[in-house]
Amino acid sequence: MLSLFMIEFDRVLRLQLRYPLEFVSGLLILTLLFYGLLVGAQHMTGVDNFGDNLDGIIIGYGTWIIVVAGLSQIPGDIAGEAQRGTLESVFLAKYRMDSIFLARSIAGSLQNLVLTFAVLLLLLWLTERSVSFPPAAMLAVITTILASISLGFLAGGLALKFKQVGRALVLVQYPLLFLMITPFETMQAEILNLSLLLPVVPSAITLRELTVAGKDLGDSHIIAALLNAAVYLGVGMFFFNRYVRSVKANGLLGGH
Amino acid sequence: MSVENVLDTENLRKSYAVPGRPQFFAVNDVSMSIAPGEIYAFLGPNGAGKTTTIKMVSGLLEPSTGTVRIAGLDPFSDRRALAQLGTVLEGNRNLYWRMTCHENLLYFGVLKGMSFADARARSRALLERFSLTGKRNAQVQALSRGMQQKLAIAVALMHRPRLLLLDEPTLGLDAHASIEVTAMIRDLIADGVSILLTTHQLDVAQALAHRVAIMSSGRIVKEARMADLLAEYAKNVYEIQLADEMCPERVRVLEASYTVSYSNQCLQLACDADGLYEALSIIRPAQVQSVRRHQSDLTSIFIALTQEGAPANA
Ligand SMILES: Nc1ncnc2c1ncn2[C@@H]1O[C@H](COP(=O)(O)OP(=O)(O)OP(=O)(O)O)[C@@H](O)[C@H]1O
Ligand SMILES: [Mg+2]
Repeated sequence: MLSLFMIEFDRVLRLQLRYPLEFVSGLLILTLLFYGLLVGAQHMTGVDNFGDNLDGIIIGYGTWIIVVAGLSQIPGDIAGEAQRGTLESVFLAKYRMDSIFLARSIAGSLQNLVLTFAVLLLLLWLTERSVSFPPAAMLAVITTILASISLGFLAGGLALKFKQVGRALVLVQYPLLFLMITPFETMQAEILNLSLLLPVVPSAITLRELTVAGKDLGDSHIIAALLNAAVYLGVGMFFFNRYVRSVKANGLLGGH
Repeated sequence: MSVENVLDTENLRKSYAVPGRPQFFAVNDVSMSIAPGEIYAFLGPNGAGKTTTIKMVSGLLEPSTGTVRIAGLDPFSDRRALAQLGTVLEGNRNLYWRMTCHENLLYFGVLKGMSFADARARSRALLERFSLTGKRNAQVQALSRGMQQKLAIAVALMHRPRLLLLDEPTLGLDAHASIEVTAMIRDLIADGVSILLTTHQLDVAQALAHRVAIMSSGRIVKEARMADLLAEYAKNVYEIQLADEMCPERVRVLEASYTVSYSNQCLQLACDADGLYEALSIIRPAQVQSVRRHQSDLTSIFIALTQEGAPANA
Protein backbone atom coordinates (compact mmCIF):
# COMPACT_ATOMS: atom_id res chain seq x y z
CA MET A 1 0.00 0.00 0.00
CA LEU A 2 2.82 2.40 0.84
CA SER A 3 4.47 1.67 -2.52
CA LEU A 4 1.17 2.38 -4.22
CA PHE A 5 0.82 5.76 -2.54
CA MET A 6 4.48 6.58 -3.21
CA ILE A 7 4.25 5.78 -6.91
CA GLU A 8 1.11 7.90 -7.30
CA PHE A 9 2.77 10.78 -5.47
CA ASP A 10 5.91 10.32 -7.55
CA ARG A 11 3.83 10.47 -10.73
CA VAL A 12 1.97 13.61 -9.67
CA LEU A 13 5.24 15.30 -8.75
CA ARG A 14 6.99 14.42 -11.99
CA LEU A 15 4.10 15.60 -14.15
CA GLN A 16 3.82 18.78 -12.09
CA LEU A 17 7.48 19.56 -12.64
CA ARG A 18 7.22 18.64 -16.31
CA TYR A 19 4.27 20.95 -16.88
CA PRO A 20 4.85 23.87 -14.48
CA LEU A 21 2.66 26.18 -16.55
CA GLU A 22 -0.40 24.30 -15.37
CA PHE A 23 0.34 25.50 -11.85
CA VAL A 24 0.75 29.11 -12.92
CA SER A 25 -2.41 29.11 -15.01
CA GLY A 26 -4.32 27.45 -12.16
CA LEU A 27 -3.15 30.20 -9.81
CA LEU A 28 -4.20 32.94 -12.21
CA ILE A 29 -7.59 31.45 -13.06
CA LEU A 30 -8.54 30.79 -9.45
CA THR A 31 -7.51 34.29 -8.34
CA LEU A 32 -9.41 35.96 -11.17
CA LEU A 33 -12.43 33.74 -10.53
CA PHE A 34 -12.50 34.91 -6.93
CA TYR A 35 -12.55 38.53 -7.99
CA GLY A 36 -15.21 37.77 -10.57
CA LEU A 37 -17.40 36.15 -7.92
CA LEU A 38 -16.74 38.96 -5.46
CA VAL A 39 -17.68 41.71 -7.92
CA GLY A 40 -20.75 39.72 -8.93
CA ALA A 41 -21.80 39.29 -5.31
CA GLN A 42 -21.26 42.99 -4.55
CA HIS A 43 -23.36 43.88 -7.55
CA MET A 44 -26.19 41.56 -6.57
CA THR A 45 -26.27 42.31 -2.85
CA GLY A 46 -25.49 45.97 -3.13
CA VAL A 47 -22.99 45.58 -0.31
CA ASP A 48 -19.78 47.35 -1.14
CA ASN A 49 -17.70 46.15 1.67
CA PHE A 50 -17.93 42.66 3.11
CA GLY A 51 -15.81 43.75 6.01
CA ASP A 52 -14.84 40.94 8.33
CA ASN A 53 -17.02 38.58 6.35
CA LEU A 54 -14.43 38.75 3.61
CA ASP A 55 -12.02 36.64 5.66
CA GLY A 56 -14.67 33.96 5.96
CA ILE A 57 -15.43 34.17 2.27
CA ILE A 58 -11.76 33.81 1.36
CA ILE A 59 -11.37 30.75 3.60
CA GLY A 60 -14.64 29.34 2.25
CA TYR A 61 -13.32 29.86 -1.24
CA GLY A 62 -10.11 27.99 -0.37
CA THR A 63 -12.18 25.17 1.11
CA TRP A 64 -14.16 25.09 -2.10
CA ILE A 65 -11.00 24.76 -4.22
CA ILE A 66 -9.99 21.76 -2.13
CA VAL A 67 -13.45 20.25 -2.41
CA VAL A 68 -13.72 20.72 -6.16
CA ALA A 69 -10.28 19.16 -6.65
CA GLY A 70 -11.18 16.16 -4.49
CA LEU A 71 -14.54 15.83 -6.19
CA SER A 72 -13.25 15.94 -9.75
CA GLN A 73 -10.05 13.92 -9.37
CA ILE A 74 -11.53 10.42 -9.70
CA PRO A 75 -14.19 11.10 -12.35
CA GLY A 76 -11.71 13.23 -14.30
CA ASP A 77 -9.14 10.46 -14.14
CA ILE A 78 -11.64 7.83 -15.18
CA ALA A 79 -13.13 9.81 -18.05
CA GLY A 80 -9.69 10.82 -19.33
CA GLU A 81 -8.22 7.35 -19.08
CA ALA A 82 -11.29 5.74 -20.60
CA GLN A 83 -10.92 8.09 -23.53
CA ARG A 84 -7.18 7.53 -23.95
CA GLY A 85 -7.66 3.82 -23.31
CA THR A 86 -5.36 3.40 -20.33
CA LEU A 87 -8.20 2.70 -17.90
CA GLU A 88 -8.16 -1.01 -18.62
CA SER A 89 -4.41 -1.13 -17.92
CA VAL A 90 -5.11 0.33 -14.49
CA PHE A 91 -7.77 -2.33 -13.91
CA LEU A 92 -5.11 -4.99 -14.52
CA ALA A 93 -3.28 -3.93 -11.35
CA LYS A 94 -2.78 -6.18 -8.38
CA TYR A 95 -4.41 -3.61 -6.09
CA ARG A 96 -8.11 -3.01 -5.65
CA MET A 97 -9.52 -0.15 -7.67
CA ASP A 98 -10.69 1.75 -4.58
CA SER A 99 -7.15 1.61 -3.13
CA ILE A 100 -5.62 2.89 -6.34
CA PHE A 101 -8.06 5.75 -6.68
CA LEU A 102 -7.79 6.63 -3.00
CA ALA A 103 -4.00 6.82 -3.39
CA ARG A 104 -4.38 8.93 -6.51
CA SER A 105 -6.86 11.26 -4.83
CA ILE A 106 -4.64 11.79 -1.82
CA ALA A 107 -1.62 12.45 -4.03
CA GLY A 108 -3.65 14.80 -6.24
CA SER A 109 -5.13 16.58 -3.24
CA LEU A 110 -1.70 17.18 -1.71
CA GLN A 111 -0.58 18.67 -5.01
CA ASN A 112 -3.69 20.81 -5.12
CA LEU A 113 -3.15 21.91 -1.52
CA VAL A 114 0.03 23.71 -2.55
CA LEU A 115 -1.95 25.54 -5.21
CA THR A 116 -4.74 26.32 -2.75
CA PHE A 117 -2.36 27.82 -0.21
CA ALA A 118 -0.75 29.88 -2.95
CA VAL A 119 -4.14 31.22 -4.05
CA LEU A 120 -5.13 32.01 -0.47
CA LEU A 121 -1.88 33.83 0.28
CA LEU A 122 -2.26 35.82 -2.91
CA LEU A 123 -5.87 36.71 -2.12
CA LEU A 124 -5.07 37.71 1.47
CA TRP A 125 -2.22 39.84 0.24
CA LEU A 126 -4.30 41.48 -2.48
CA THR A 127 -7.21 42.21 -0.12
CA GLU A 128 -4.84 43.18 2.68
CA ARG A 129 -6.49 40.84 5.16
CA SER A 130 -5.04 38.29 7.46
CA VAL A 131 -6.17 35.11 9.12
CA SER A 132 -4.58 32.85 11.68
CA PHE A 133 -3.62 29.29 10.94
CA PRO A 134 -3.24 27.24 14.12
CA PRO A 135 -1.90 23.67 13.81
CA ALA A 136 -5.38 22.30 14.52
CA ALA A 137 -6.53 23.87 11.26
CA MET A 138 -4.34 21.41 9.42
CA LEU A 139 -6.48 18.59 10.86
CA ALA A 140 -9.57 20.29 9.48
CA VAL A 141 -7.84 20.58 6.12
CA ILE A 142 -7.25 16.83 6.20
CA THR A 143 -10.89 16.04 7.00
CA THR A 144 -11.92 18.44 4.24
CA ILE A 145 -9.75 16.52 1.79
CA LEU A 146 -11.08 13.13 2.90
CA ALA A 147 -14.68 14.29 2.73
CA SER A 148 -14.17 15.73 -0.73
CA ILE A 149 -12.55 12.49 -1.92
CA SER A 150 -15.70 10.68 -0.81
CA LEU A 151 -17.64 12.87 -3.25
CA GLY A 152 -15.00 11.97 -5.83
CA PHE A 153 -15.74 8.28 -5.33
CA LEU A 154 -19.46 8.86 -5.87
CA ALA A 155 -18.80 10.90 -8.99
CA GLY A 156 -16.19 8.35 -10.12
CA GLY A 157 -18.71 5.54 -9.89
CA LEU A 158 -21.08 7.55 -12.05
CA ALA A 159 -18.23 8.25 -14.47
CA LEU A 160 -17.63 4.51 -14.82
CA LYS A 161 -21.27 4.05 -15.67
CA PHE A 162 -22.03 7.09 -17.80
CA LYS A 163 -18.56 8.10 -19.08
CA GLN A 164 -19.53 11.76 -19.56
CA VAL A 165 -19.95 13.45 -16.21
CA GLY A 166 -17.93 16.62 -16.83
CA ARG A 167 -20.93 18.86 -17.36
CA ALA A 168 -22.81 17.52 -14.35
CA LEU A 169 -19.70 18.14 -12.23
CA VAL A 170 -19.54 21.77 -13.32
CA LEU A 171 -23.16 22.14 -12.23
CA VAL A 172 -22.64 20.78 -8.71
CA GLN A 173 -19.66 23.07 -8.14
CA TYR A 174 -21.91 26.07 -7.53
CA PRO A 175 -24.13 24.55 -4.85
CA LEU A 176 -20.90 23.34 -3.26
CA LEU A 177 -19.45 26.86 -3.31
CA PHE A 178 -22.61 28.05 -1.64
CA LEU A 179 -22.30 25.34 1.03
CA MET A 180 -18.65 26.18 1.65
CA ILE A 181 -19.12 29.91 2.21
CA THR A 182 -22.43 29.78 4.09
CA PRO A 183 -21.70 30.62 7.74
CA PHE A 184 -23.83 27.90 9.34
CA GLU A 185 -22.04 28.51 12.61
CA THR A 186 -23.87 31.82 13.01
CA MET A 187 -27.31 30.27 12.46
CA GLN A 188 -29.84 28.69 14.79
CA ALA A 189 -28.81 25.52 16.55
CA GLU A 190 -31.27 23.34 14.59
CA ILE A 191 -29.98 24.49 11.24
CA LEU A 192 -26.38 24.21 12.40
CA ASN A 193 -26.96 20.64 13.60
CA LEU A 194 -28.66 19.63 10.35
CA SER A 195 -25.88 21.20 8.33
CA LEU A 196 -23.44 18.83 10.00
CA LEU A 197 -25.01 16.04 7.96
CA LEU A 198 -24.12 17.75 4.70
CA PRO A 199 -20.93 16.65 2.93
CA VAL A 200 -17.77 18.53 3.98
CA VAL A 201 -19.75 21.21 5.88
CA PRO A 202 -18.49 20.30 9.40
CA SER A 203 -14.92 20.56 8.09
CA ALA A 204 -15.64 23.92 6.46
CA ILE A 205 -17.18 25.27 9.66
CA THR A 206 -14.22 24.08 11.71
CA LEU A 207 -11.78 25.68 9.31
CA ARG A 208 -13.54 29.02 9.44
CA GLU A 209 -13.87 29.02 13.22
CA LEU A 210 -10.19 28.25 13.63
CA THR A 211 -8.73 30.60 11.05
CA VAL A 212 -11.14 33.52 10.81
CA ALA A 213 -12.64 33.71 14.26
CA GLY A 214 -9.39 32.45 15.76
CA LYS A 215 -11.48 30.46 18.24
CA ASP A 216 -9.95 27.87 20.47
CA LEU A 217 -12.29 24.98 19.68
CA GLY A 218 -12.78 21.84 21.70
CA ASP A 219 -12.46 18.39 20.20
CA SER A 220 -16.14 18.13 19.30
CA HIS A 221 -15.75 20.15 16.09
CA ILE A 222 -12.93 18.09 14.66
CA ILE A 223 -14.62 14.84 15.74
CA ALA A 224 -17.79 15.84 13.92
CA ALA A 225 -15.71 16.72 10.86
CA LEU A 226 -13.88 13.41 11.04
CA LEU A 227 -17.06 11.38 11.49
CA ASN A 228 -18.71 13.18 8.60
CA ALA A 229 -15.70 12.51 6.35
CA ALA A 230 -15.47 8.85 7.39
CA VAL A 231 -19.15 8.13 6.80
CA TYR A 232 -19.18 9.83 3.41
CA LEU A 233 -15.95 8.07 2.43
CA GLY A 234 -17.46 4.71 3.34
CA VAL A 235 -20.59 5.40 1.34
CA GLY A 236 -18.63 6.78 -1.62
CA MET A 237 -16.31 3.78 -1.79
CA PHE A 238 -19.22 1.37 -1.45
CA PHE A 239 -20.94 2.87 -4.49
CA PHE A 240 -17.71 3.08 -6.41
CA ASN A 241 -17.02 -0.62 -5.85
CA ARG A 242 -20.51 -1.50 -7.02
CA TYR A 243 -19.90 0.32 -10.28
CA VAL A 244 -16.50 -1.33 -10.69
CA ARG A 245 -18.21 -4.72 -10.45
CA SER A 246 -20.95 -3.77 -12.85
CA VAL A 247 -18.40 -2.53 -15.35
CA LYS A 248 -16.59 -5.86 -15.19
CA ALA A 249 -19.84 -7.70 -15.73
CA ASN A 250 -21.16 -5.56 -18.57
CA GLY A 251 -17.94 -4.84 -20.35
CA LEU A 252 -18.31 -1.08 -20.45
CA LEU A 253 -14.60 -0.62 -19.86
CA GLY A 254 -12.82 0.99 -22.74
CA GLY A 255 -16.04 2.44 -24.03
CA HIS A 256 -18.29 0.40 -26.28
CA MET B 1 -8.26 -29.45 -15.64
CA SER B 2 -4.62 -29.82 -14.80
CA VAL B 3 -2.78 -27.75 -12.22
CA GLU B 4 0.35 -27.87 -14.33
CA ASN B 5 -1.25 -25.74 -16.99
CA VAL B 6 -0.64 -22.03 -16.87
CA LEU B 7 -4.12 -21.38 -18.19
CA ASP B 8 -7.30 -23.40 -18.23
CA THR B 9 -10.66 -22.16 -19.41
CA GLU B 10 -13.75 -24.28 -19.29
CA ASN B 11 -16.96 -23.64 -21.22
CA LEU B 12 -16.31 -19.93 -21.19
CA ARG B 13 -19.24 -17.84 -22.36
CA LYS B 14 -19.98 -14.16 -22.52
CA SER B 15 -23.25 -12.64 -23.54
CA TYR B 16 -23.70 -8.91 -23.75
CA ALA B 17 -27.07 -7.46 -22.95
CA VAL B 18 -27.78 -5.29 -25.97
CA PRO B 19 -31.21 -3.65 -25.80
CA GLY B 20 -33.51 -4.69 -28.63
CA ARG B 21 -31.42 -7.65 -29.68
CA PRO B 22 -31.87 -11.31 -28.82
CA GLN B 23 -29.34 -12.80 -26.43
CA PHE B 24 -26.06 -13.02 -28.23
CA PHE B 25 -22.90 -14.80 -27.20
CA ALA B 26 -19.73 -12.94 -28.10
CA VAL B 27 -17.87 -15.96 -26.76
CA ASN B 28 -19.57 -19.32 -26.73
CA ASP B 29 -18.34 -22.40 -24.94
CA VAL B 30 -14.61 -21.85 -25.19
CA SER B 31 -12.49 -24.46 -23.42
CA MET B 32 -8.75 -24.40 -23.85
CA SER B 33 -5.52 -24.72 -21.93
CA ILE B 34 -1.95 -23.54 -22.26
CA ALA B 35 1.08 -25.41 -20.96
CA PRO B 36 4.21 -23.71 -19.59
CA GLY B 37 6.38 -22.32 -22.35
CA GLU B 38 3.70 -22.65 -24.98
CA ILE B 39 2.59 -20.02 -27.49
CA TYR B 40 -1.08 -20.29 -28.33
CA ALA B 41 -2.65 -18.15 -31.04
CA PHE B 42 -6.26 -17.15 -31.57
CA LEU B 43 -7.16 -16.50 -35.16
CA GLY B 44 -10.49 -15.41 -36.47
CA PRO B 45 -12.36 -12.75 -38.41
CA ASN B 46 -13.41 -9.43 -36.88
CA GLY B 47 -15.96 -9.90 -34.13
CA ALA B 48 -15.10 -13.56 -33.62
CA GLY B 49 -14.70 -13.04 -29.87
CA LYS B 50 -10.90 -13.07 -29.54
CA THR B 51 -10.61 -9.85 -27.56
CA THR B 52 -13.57 -10.80 -25.39
CA THR B 53 -11.84 -14.07 -24.52
CA ILE B 54 -8.57 -12.29 -23.72
CA LYS B 55 -10.41 -9.84 -21.46
CA MET B 56 -12.10 -12.66 -19.58
CA VAL B 57 -8.76 -14.36 -19.05
CA SER B 58 -7.17 -11.12 -17.87
CA GLY B 59 -9.86 -10.48 -15.26
CA LEU B 60 -11.20 -7.35 -16.97
CA LEU B 61 -14.47 -8.96 -17.93
CA GLU B 62 -16.53 -11.37 -15.88
CA PRO B 63 -17.57 -14.52 -17.77
CA SER B 64 -21.31 -15.10 -18.03
CA THR B 65 -20.67 -18.76 -17.34
CA GLY B 66 -17.64 -21.00 -17.26
CA THR B 67 -14.34 -20.72 -15.47
CA VAL B 68 -10.89 -19.25 -15.97
CA ARG B 69 -7.93 -20.53 -13.97
CA ILE B 70 -4.49 -18.95 -14.09
CA ALA B 71 -2.09 -21.51 -12.62
CA GLY B 72 -5.11 -22.84 -10.76
CA LEU B 73 -6.29 -19.42 -9.49
CA ASP B 74 -9.43 -17.51 -10.44
CA PRO B 75 -8.52 -14.01 -11.72
CA PHE B 76 -11.83 -12.66 -10.40
CA SER B 77 -11.68 -13.75 -6.82
CA ASP B 78 -7.95 -14.12 -6.28
CA ARG B 79 -5.63 -11.17 -6.79
CA ARG B 80 -2.64 -13.50 -6.78
CA ALA B 81 -3.81 -14.67 -10.19
CA LEU B 82 -3.35 -11.14 -11.53
CA ALA B 83 0.27 -11.17 -10.40
CA GLN B 84 0.85 -14.15 -12.73
CA LEU B 85 -0.53 -12.26 -15.70
CA GLY B 86 0.94 -9.71 -18.05
CA THR B 87 -1.45 -8.17 -20.55
CA VAL B 88 -0.95 -6.03 -23.63
CA LEU B 89 -4.28 -4.86 -24.96
CA GLU B 90 -5.07 -4.01 -28.54
CA GLY B 91 -3.59 -0.85 -30.01
CA ASN B 92 -1.54 1.89 -28.39
CA ARG B 93 -3.52 2.35 -25.22
CA ASN B 94 -1.35 0.51 -22.75
CA LEU B 95 0.94 3.39 -21.81
CA TYR B 96 0.83 6.91 -20.41
CA TRP B 97 1.86 9.19 -23.23
CA ARG B 98 3.08 12.08 -21.14
CA MET B 99 5.32 9.81 -19.08
CA THR B 100 8.73 8.46 -20.08
CA CYS B 101 9.60 4.83 -20.81
CA HIS B 102 11.18 4.39 -17.41
CA GLU B 103 8.27 6.05 -15.62
CA ASN B 104 5.76 3.78 -17.35
CA LEU B 105 7.76 0.69 -16.46
CA LEU B 106 8.11 1.81 -12.87
CA TYR B 107 4.47 2.82 -12.50
CA PHE B 108 2.91 -0.33 -13.89
CA GLY B 109 5.48 -2.51 -12.13
CA VAL B 110 4.51 -1.08 -8.76
CA LEU B 111 0.83 -1.39 -9.70
CA LYS B 112 1.52 -5.09 -10.15
CA GLY B 113 2.82 -5.27 -6.62
CA MET B 114 6.58 -4.74 -7.08
CA SER B 115 8.68 -2.76 -4.65
CA PHE B 116 10.32 0.45 -5.88
CA ALA B 117 13.83 -0.96 -5.79
CA ASP B 118 12.88 -4.13 -7.60
CA ALA B 119 10.93 -2.19 -10.22
CA ARG B 120 13.84 0.18 -10.83
CA ALA B 121 16.31 -2.63 -11.39
CA ARG B 122 13.88 -4.56 -13.59
CA SER B 123 13.16 -1.45 -15.66
CA ARG B 124 16.85 -1.04 -16.38
CA ALA B 125 17.21 -4.69 -17.36
CA LEU B 126 14.19 -4.68 -19.67
CA LEU B 127 15.15 -1.42 -21.38
CA GLU B 128 18.52 -2.96 -22.02
CA ARG B 129 17.08 -6.20 -23.28
CA PHE B 130 14.71 -4.56 -25.75
CA SER B 131 17.27 -2.00 -26.94
CA LEU B 132 15.33 0.91 -25.47
CA THR B 133 18.00 2.14 -23.07
CA GLY B 134 18.59 5.21 -25.24
CA LYS B 135 14.89 6.07 -24.90
CA ARG B 136 14.74 5.64 -21.14
CA ASN B 137 13.85 9.26 -20.51
CA ALA B 138 11.89 9.88 -23.69
CA GLN B 139 8.16 10.45 -23.40
CA VAL B 140 6.04 7.72 -24.95
CA GLN B 141 4.42 10.18 -27.34
CA ALA B 142 7.83 10.74 -28.91
CA LEU B 143 8.39 7.05 -29.69
CA SER B 144 7.64 5.28 -32.94
CA ARG B 145 4.70 2.90 -32.92
CA GLY B 146 7.08 -0.07 -33.00
CA MET B 147 8.99 1.18 -29.96
CA GLN B 148 5.74 1.84 -28.15
CA GLN B 149 4.69 -1.73 -28.73
CA LYS B 150 8.03 -3.05 -27.51
CA LEU B 151 7.68 -0.89 -24.42
CA ALA B 152 4.11 -2.09 -23.86
CA ILE B 153 5.36 -5.67 -23.90
CA ALA B 154 8.20 -4.76 -21.55
CA VAL B 155 5.69 -3.15 -19.18
CA ALA B 156 3.63 -6.35 -19.20
CA LEU B 157 6.77 -8.34 -18.37
CA MET B 158 7.87 -6.14 -15.45
CA HIS B 159 6.58 -8.37 -12.66
CA ARG B 160 7.80 -11.58 -14.33
CA PRO B 161 4.37 -13.02 -15.18
CA ARG B 162 3.97 -16.65 -16.12
CA LEU B 163 1.35 -15.93 -18.75
CA LEU B 164 1.50 -13.11 -21.24
CA LEU B 165 -1.68 -12.06 -23.07
CA LEU B 166 -1.08 -10.19 -26.31
CA ASP B 167 -4.06 -8.84 -28.25
CA GLU B 168 -2.95 -8.13 -31.82
CA PRO B 169 0.70 -7.47 -30.94
CA THR B 170 1.70 -6.49 -34.47
CA LEU B 171 -1.33 -4.41 -35.36
CA GLY B 172 -0.39 -1.17 -37.06
CA LEU B 173 3.32 -1.93 -37.23
CA ASP B 174 5.30 -1.66 -40.43
CA ALA B 175 6.94 -4.80 -41.83
CA HIS B 176 10.25 -4.11 -40.13
CA ALA B 177 8.78 -3.42 -36.70
CA SER B 178 6.45 -6.37 -37.06
CA ILE B 179 9.37 -8.73 -37.66
CA GLU B 180 11.24 -7.22 -34.73
CA VAL B 181 8.31 -7.59 -32.34
CA THR B 182 7.65 -11.12 -33.57
CA ALA B 183 11.25 -12.11 -32.91
CA MET B 184 11.08 -10.46 -29.51
CA ILE B 185 7.97 -12.48 -28.60
CA ARG B 186 9.60 -15.72 -29.72
CA ASP B 187 12.63 -15.03 -27.54
CA LEU B 188 10.42 -14.80 -24.47
CA ILE B 189 9.91 -18.55 -24.55
CA ALA B 190 13.47 -18.95 -23.27
CA ASP B 191 12.29 -17.32 -20.03
CA GLY B 192 9.59 -19.93 -19.62
CA VAL B 193 6.73 -17.51 -20.23
CA SER B 194 3.57 -18.87 -21.83
CA ILE B 195 1.83 -16.67 -24.35
CA LEU B 196 -1.74 -16.33 -25.51
CA LEU B 197 -1.97 -14.06 -28.51
CA THR B 198 -4.55 -13.00 -31.05
CA THR B 199 -3.66 -11.88 -34.53
CA HIS B 200 -5.01 -11.21 -37.99
CA GLN B 201 -1.58 -11.68 -39.46
CA LEU B 202 -1.37 -15.32 -40.30
CA ASP B 203 2.34 -15.18 -40.97
CA VAL B 204 2.81 -13.95 -37.42
CA ALA B 205 0.81 -16.88 -36.06
CA GLN B 206 2.67 -19.29 -38.29
CA ALA B 207 6.01 -17.92 -37.18
CA LEU B 208 5.20 -17.98 -33.47
CA ALA B 209 2.49 -20.33 -32.37
CA HIS B 210 2.88 -23.88 -31.21
CA ARG B 211 -0.87 -24.24 -31.25
CA VAL B 212 -3.65 -22.31 -32.94
CA ALA B 213 -7.35 -22.01 -32.38
CA ILE B 214 -9.49 -20.62 -35.14
CA MET B 215 -12.47 -18.74 -33.77
CA SER B 216 -15.62 -17.85 -35.60
CA SER B 217 -18.82 -16.40 -34.13
CA GLY B 218 -17.65 -16.92 -30.57
CA ARG B 219 -16.69 -20.57 -30.95
CA ILE B 220 -13.43 -22.37 -31.51
CA VAL B 221 -14.06 -24.07 -34.84
CA LYS B 222 -10.64 -25.67 -35.02
CA GLU B 223 -7.85 -26.17 -32.56
CA ALA B 224 -4.63 -27.94 -33.47
CA ARG B 225 -0.90 -27.96 -33.14
CA MET B 226 0.44 -25.65 -35.81
CA ALA B 227 2.52 -28.39 -37.40
CA ASP B 228 -0.41 -30.83 -37.46
CA LEU B 229 -2.73 -28.27 -38.93
CA LEU B 230 -0.37 -27.46 -41.74
CA ALA B 231 0.28 -31.15 -42.37
CA GLU B 232 -3.38 -32.09 -42.31
CA TYR B 233 -4.32 -29.56 -44.92
CA ALA B 234 -1.21 -30.07 -46.96
CA LYS B 235 -1.26 -33.84 -47.15
CA ASN B 236 -3.49 -34.48 -50.12
CA VAL B 237 -2.84 -31.75 -52.62
CA TYR B 238 -0.38 -32.52 -55.41
CA GLU B 239 0.77 -30.23 -58.12
CA ILE B 240 1.79 -32.06 -61.33
CA GLN B 241 3.65 -30.02 -63.88
CA LEU B 242 3.57 -31.45 -67.43
CA ALA B 243 5.93 -30.79 -70.32
CA ASP B 244 3.12 -30.29 -72.83
CA GLU B 245 -0.64 -29.94 -73.01
CA MET B 246 -2.76 -32.84 -71.91
CA CYS B 247 -5.55 -34.00 -74.17
CA PRO B 248 -8.98 -32.84 -72.97
CA GLU B 249 -10.43 -36.36 -72.82
CA ARG B 250 -7.95 -37.46 -70.24
CA VAL B 251 -8.63 -34.37 -68.22
CA ARG B 252 -12.30 -35.37 -68.29
CA VAL B 253 -11.42 -38.88 -67.09
CA LEU B 254 -9.49 -37.38 -64.21
CA GLU B 255 -12.32 -35.05 -63.38
CA ALA B 256 -14.68 -38.00 -63.11
CA SER B 257 -12.87 -39.45 -60.10
CA TYR B 258 -10.80 -36.62 -58.62
CA THR B 259 -11.09 -33.08 -57.40
CA VAL B 260 -8.85 -31.58 -59.98
CA SER B 261 -8.05 -28.37 -61.77
CA TYR B 262 -6.00 -28.02 -64.91
CA SER B 263 -4.43 -24.99 -66.51
CA ASN B 264 -1.14 -24.06 -68.16
CA GLN B 265 0.04 -27.67 -68.29
CA CYS B 266 -0.33 -27.88 -64.58
CA LEU B 267 -2.62 -30.21 -62.65
CA GLN B 268 -3.81 -29.58 -59.10
CA LEU B 269 -4.96 -32.85 -57.67
CA ALA B 270 -6.56 -33.66 -54.34
CA CYS B 271 -5.99 -37.34 -53.51
CA ASP B 272 -4.02 -39.72 -51.32
CA ALA B 273 -0.75 -41.43 -52.29
CA ASP B 274 -2.44 -44.41 -54.03
CA GLY B 275 -4.66 -42.03 -55.92
CA LEU B 276 -1.55 -40.25 -57.14
CA TYR B 277 -0.24 -43.42 -58.83
CA GLU B 278 -3.60 -44.05 -60.44
CA ALA B 279 -3.76 -40.49 -61.66
CA LEU B 280 -0.26 -40.75 -63.10
CA SER B 281 -1.32 -43.88 -65.03
CA ILE B 282 -4.20 -41.93 -66.55
CA ILE B 283 -1.85 -39.11 -67.47
CA ARG B 284 0.66 -41.64 -68.72
CA PRO B 285 1.78 -40.75 -72.20
CA ALA B 286 2.11 -37.11 -71.28
CA GLN B 287 5.53 -36.12 -70.05
CA VAL B 288 5.69 -35.27 -66.35
CA GLN B 289 8.13 -32.56 -65.47
CA SER B 290 7.62 -32.42 -61.71
CA VAL B 291 5.37 -33.66 -58.94
CA ARG B 292 5.16 -31.55 -55.81
CA ARG B 293 3.17 -31.87 -52.65
CA HIS B 294 1.57 -28.57 -51.72
CA GLN B 295 2.94 -26.71 -48.77
CA SER B 296 -0.36 -25.17 -47.75
CA ASP B 297 -0.07 -22.11 -45.57
CA LEU B 298 -2.23 -20.89 -42.79
CA THR B 299 -3.92 -18.35 -45.03
CA SER B 300 -5.67 -20.93 -47.16
CA ILE B 301 -6.62 -23.06 -44.16
CA PHE B 302 -7.96 -20.04 -42.39
CA ILE B 303 -10.08 -18.96 -45.32
CA ALA B 304 -11.44 -22.47 -45.78
CA LEU B 305 -12.34 -22.85 -42.10
CA THR B 306 -13.88 -19.47 -41.53
CA GLN B 307 -15.91 -19.57 -44.75
CA GLU B 308 -17.70 -22.78 -43.97
CA GLY B 309 -18.71 -21.54 -40.51
CA ALA B 310 -21.58 -19.16 -39.90
CA PRO B 311 -20.94 -15.56 -40.90
CA ALA B 312 -19.39 -13.43 -38.17
CA ASN B 313 -21.59 -11.26 -36.03
CA ALA B 314 -21.31 -7.63 -36.90
N1 LIG C 1 -19.14 -4.21 -24.41
C1 LIG C 1 -19.77 -4.83 -25.43
N2 LIG C 1 -21.11 -4.73 -25.55
C2 LIG C 1 -21.76 -5.35 -26.56
N3 LIG C 1 -21.17 -6.08 -27.51
C3 LIG C 1 -19.84 -6.23 -27.46
C4 LIG C 1 -19.06 -5.60 -26.42
N4 LIG C 1 -17.76 -5.92 -26.64
C5 LIG C 1 -17.72 -6.70 -27.74
N5 LIG C 1 -18.96 -6.89 -28.24
C6 LIG C 1 -19.31 -7.72 -29.40
O1 LIG C 1 -18.80 -9.00 -29.19
C7 LIG C 1 -18.34 -9.57 -30.40
C8 LIG C 1 -16.93 -10.07 -30.25
O2 LIG C 1 -16.07 -8.96 -30.13
P1 LIG C 1 -14.50 -9.08 -29.94
O3 LIG C 1 -13.98 -7.70 -29.74
O4 LIG C 1 -14.21 -10.09 -28.92
O5 LIG C 1 -14.05 -9.62 -31.37
P2 LIG C 1 -12.57 -9.84 -31.93
O6 LIG C 1 -12.49 -11.27 -32.31
O7 LIG C 1 -11.58 -9.34 -30.97
O8 LIG C 1 -12.60 -8.94 -33.22
P3 LIG C 1 -11.44 -8.06 -33.88
O9 LIG C 1 -10.69 -8.97 -34.76
O10 LIG C 1 -12.19 -7.05 -34.65
O11 LIG C 1 -10.62 -7.46 -32.79
C9 LIG C 1 -18.51 -8.51 -31.45
O12 LIG C 1 -19.69 -8.81 -32.17
C10 LIG C 1 -18.64 -7.24 -30.67
O13 LIG C 1 -19.44 -6.32 -31.35
MG1 LIG D 1 -10.12 -7.83 -31.03
